[in-house]
Amino acid sequence: MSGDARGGFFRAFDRVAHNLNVVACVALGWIVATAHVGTNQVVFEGRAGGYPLRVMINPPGVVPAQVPIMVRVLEGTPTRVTVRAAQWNVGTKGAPPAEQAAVVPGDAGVWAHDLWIMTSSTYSVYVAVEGPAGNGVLVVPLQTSATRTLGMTQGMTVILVVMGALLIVGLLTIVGAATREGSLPAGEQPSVGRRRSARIATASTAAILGLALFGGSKWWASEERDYKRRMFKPIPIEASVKTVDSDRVLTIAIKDSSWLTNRSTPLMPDHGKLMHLFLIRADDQTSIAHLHPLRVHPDSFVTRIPALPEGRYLLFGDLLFQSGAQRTVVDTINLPVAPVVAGESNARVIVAAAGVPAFDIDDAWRTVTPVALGTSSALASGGNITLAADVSAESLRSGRDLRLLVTVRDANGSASILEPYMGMGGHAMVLRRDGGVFMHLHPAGTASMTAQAQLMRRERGDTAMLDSADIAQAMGIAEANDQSATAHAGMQMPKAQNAKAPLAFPFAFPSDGAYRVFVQVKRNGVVETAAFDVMITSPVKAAQ
Amino acid sequence: MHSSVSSNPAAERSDAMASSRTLALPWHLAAVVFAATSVIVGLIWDISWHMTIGRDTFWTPAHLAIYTGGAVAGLSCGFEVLRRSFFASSRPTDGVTVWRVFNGPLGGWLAIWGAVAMLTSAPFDNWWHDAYGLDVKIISPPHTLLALGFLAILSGARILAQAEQARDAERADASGMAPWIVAFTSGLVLTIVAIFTTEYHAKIQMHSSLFYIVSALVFPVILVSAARSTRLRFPATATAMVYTTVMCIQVWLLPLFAATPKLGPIRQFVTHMVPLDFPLLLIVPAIAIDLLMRATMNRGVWTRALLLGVAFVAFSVLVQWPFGDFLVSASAKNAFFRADNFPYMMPADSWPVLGRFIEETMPELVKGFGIATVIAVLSARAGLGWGNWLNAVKR
Repeated sequence: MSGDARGGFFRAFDRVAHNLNVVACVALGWIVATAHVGTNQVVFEGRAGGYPLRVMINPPGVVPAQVPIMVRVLEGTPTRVTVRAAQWNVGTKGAPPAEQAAVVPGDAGVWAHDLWIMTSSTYSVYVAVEGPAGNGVLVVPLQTSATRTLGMTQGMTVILVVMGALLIVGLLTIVGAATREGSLPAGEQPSVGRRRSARIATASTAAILGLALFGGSKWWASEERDYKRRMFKPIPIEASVKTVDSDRVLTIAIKDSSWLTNRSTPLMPDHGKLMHLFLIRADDQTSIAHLHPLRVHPDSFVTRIPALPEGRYLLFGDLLFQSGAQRTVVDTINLPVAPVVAGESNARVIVAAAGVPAFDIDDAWRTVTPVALGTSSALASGGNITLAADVSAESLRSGRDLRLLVTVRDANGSASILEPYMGMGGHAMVLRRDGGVFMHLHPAGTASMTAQAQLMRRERGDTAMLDSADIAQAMGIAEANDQSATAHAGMQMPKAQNAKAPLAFPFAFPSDGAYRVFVQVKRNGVVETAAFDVMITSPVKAAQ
Repeated sequence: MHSSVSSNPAAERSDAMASSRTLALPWHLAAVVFAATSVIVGLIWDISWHMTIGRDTFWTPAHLAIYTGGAVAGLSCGFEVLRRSFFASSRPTDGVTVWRVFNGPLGGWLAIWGAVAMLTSAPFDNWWHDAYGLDVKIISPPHTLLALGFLAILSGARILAQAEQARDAERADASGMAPWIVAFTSGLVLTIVAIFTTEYHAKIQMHSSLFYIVSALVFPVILVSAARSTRLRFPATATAMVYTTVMCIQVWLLPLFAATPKLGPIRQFVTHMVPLDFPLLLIVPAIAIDLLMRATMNRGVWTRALLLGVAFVAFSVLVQWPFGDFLVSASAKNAFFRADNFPYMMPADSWPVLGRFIEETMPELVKGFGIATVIAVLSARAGLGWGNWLNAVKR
C-alpha cells in the first residue's frame, strides 16, 4: 500500500490511533492498560488454507462498538474472505454468522470489515479465506474493553443547547396556549381569567420541567459514572523490593478484588511461564530485564532481581487467563543499590516461607546501547543485530501494519543460527518512551499464541478450566512441539519461528511518539538483547 | 380529504375547515393519525428487530417507519401552521396562537414539538453512541427525548381528534367518524405507554405486586380519560380494543417473517422475527370502567375515582394473575399466544425462559395491592380531570 493510496479504513484507524494517543497518560502512562498497555490493537500473522495473512484489529475504545477488522493477504489472491467473532465462553455456537469482508478500494490484497462487538470480553476472530490456493481459517484472539470517554464538541454543544432551549420554550408556549385558548369556541377571545390561568399553568410547567431537567442531569451523570465503572482498569498490584540474604527480591502482590475473590478465570502459563515480567530503567530506558517470577501464593509472585543498576524502574507483568484474556500489571519500583536493610513486611514473610527462588532458566537482562531502527547494534558475544521495518520511511507511521525484521550476524559476518527462546524465534518489547504504550511481541504478532490455542481448545468442546499443571502440559508442550497447528481441521496455527526464515515481528505502532523496541534472541545458548529507537509521526496531509 | 365544496359557514371555521365537507376530515388530522400509526408500527418493528436480529443501521425499515411518522407529523402540521398564519384569506379563529404570529390547531403544535424532539434526539443519540458505546440499555437520555417525541405526536393526534369530535358534535350532518378516531388515537397512546412499561409487565411478573402498581399508575388515567372524553357507548373498551388489536396483529404477523440474529452471544435458537408479548387483558378492566362510569354519573368525582381505581385493580388481578399461569405454561407456546417469544440473547436458564414467577410473600402482596389501589384511585382521579379537559378541547 503506497502512502497516498489510503482507504477509509486507514483514515479511521489513524483517527482512533490519535484518540488513543490523547487518552494515554503521559506522566505515568499507567491509567490506560489493556491487553498490553495503552492499546488493545492486534496485529497477527498466520495461514488460512493456502494463504498467509496479516490480520489487524483495532478496537475503538468504547464497548459496544463496531470493530474494524483488516486482513492483508500476504501472498496469492483469494476469492472470498469472511470474518466472524465468537465470545470465548459461548464459541461459534453462540456467534452470529460469518460476514463477508470487502477489498479496500485502492489497496488490492487488503480486505476489511467491521464486526459488532457488544461486550468487554475475549473473542476468537475467525478469518476464513477461500481461493484456488486452498480454503482455511485463521483464529485471532481479540480483547475488547472500554478505554476512553468522549467530550462533547463545541458544535454539538451549541446544537443541543439551541434545540433544547427551543423545545423547552416550545413546550411552555404550548401549555400556555392550551390553557388560554384550547377549550374556547372558535372565534371567542380568551378572558382575563383564562390568560391568568395560562400564566399559572406555564409557570407550574416550568417548575416541573426544571425538576425534570435536574433529574435528567443527575441521570446523565449517573450513566456517565456507570460507564466509567465499566471502563477498563488495570489490575492493582503492590510491588516491593526487599533484601534477603544480600539478594534484592521483588514481590508483586495482586490487590484486585475479583482476583482475590476468585471471580476471574484462572491464570495459564504462556510459553510455560505464569508471568513474563519486564523491568525497564525509567530514566534512560537502557537497562532491561525479562524475568519469570514464581507464584509463591495465589496472590503473590516473587523473583530475585538480577544485577541491574539502581534507580527507578518501570514494571510490566504480562499475565494470561484461561479465558484467553491477556492482562499487563504495571507499577514502578525503586531499585536500591544492593544490599539494603530488610524492612518489615508481608513480602518478607512470604519470601521467607517460600525461600528466595532461583533465577528462571529463561531469565535475561542487559544494559544496552540503543541505536536507530534500521542500523546494526553490536552484540556482547560478538557479531551484530539489526532491526528494520519492511516499509518505506514515509509509510512508517502510526496505524500502518508492517514487519520488524531481525537480522543477526556472527562476528565473521555470516547469518547466525538462532535457537528457540521459550519456544519462539525471538521476543520484542515495544515501549513508547513516555510509558503510555507497552507491548510484548512474538513472531506471530501481538496476540498470545497460547490464548489462540486455548480458544481453539474451547471451541473443540474442551471447556474445562485446567489447573496450572494440567494446562502447562496441555498447552505448553503442544506449543513447544507446534502440535496445535494440526489440532483442528481447517485451522492453522502460525508456526514458531522457522530457523531458515528471517525472524520478523508483525506490528503496527498504535500511536505517534518516540518508541524504543527491545529485541531478544538466543544464540549459542545465550540470550542477546538489543534496543532500537524510532520516532513515529502523523503523516503530513497531502495537499488537495 | 380536502375539498372545495363549501358548507356551514356559520360555524366560524378556518379556511380549511370552511372548505371541507362535513364527511371529510381535516387533512392534517389524517396526516397526524397516519404519522402516529407509523411511529407505533416502527417502534414495535424496531423492538422486535432488536430481539431478533440485534444489529441495526440508520436505514432499517423499522427506523424508516419511525422517521416517516416524525416527518409527516412535523411537516403536515408545520405546513398547516404556515398556511393559517400567512396564507389564509382571513385570520383563522379556531386555532391557538403562539408567539402572537403563528396560528395552528393545538394538537398540531404538540405534533410539531414531537417532531422537533425526535430531530434533536438524533445527533444527541449519535454522540451518545460515540461516547458511551452502542446501546446496552434501551432507556438512555437521548432515547427518552425520542420517546417524549413519540408521545407528543401521539398526544397531538389524540387532541386533534378530540377537537374534531367537538366540532362534529355541533354539526347536524356529522359523519360520526370523529369519536372512533378519538378512540383509535387513545388506543395508540395506551399502546405506547404499555410498550414503555413492558419491563414491568413481563409474564413472570404477573404474580408480583409491582406489575399491578405500575399498571395502576399508567393505565387508569388513559382509560378513564378516554371514557370521559370519547363520545361512544363503550369508549374505554374501544380504547383497550385498539391496543389489544395492535398487539395481537404484531404477535401473529411478525413471526411469519424469517430472520436470524446478527449479534452475539446468541443464546436462543431464533429463526423468525420475535414479537413483543401477547397483550395484557386490559379489555376486562376497561369494560368495568365503562360500566362504572355510566353507573356513577351523578356521584362526586372522588367517589367515582375510588370506585374506578378499586375496580381497575380488582379486575386486573382477577384476569391477569391466572392468565400469567397460562402464559408460562406450554399451552401458551403456540402461534396464537407466542409465549415463547424469547429474544436471541436470553440465557436458557433465565427466569423468563424457565417460566419462573417473581414471587412475593402474602404480607408483601397485600401491601403491594394496597399501594396499587391507592395509586389506581389517584390515577383514575387524574383521568377524570384530564378527560374533562380533553372533553372541553375545541381547537
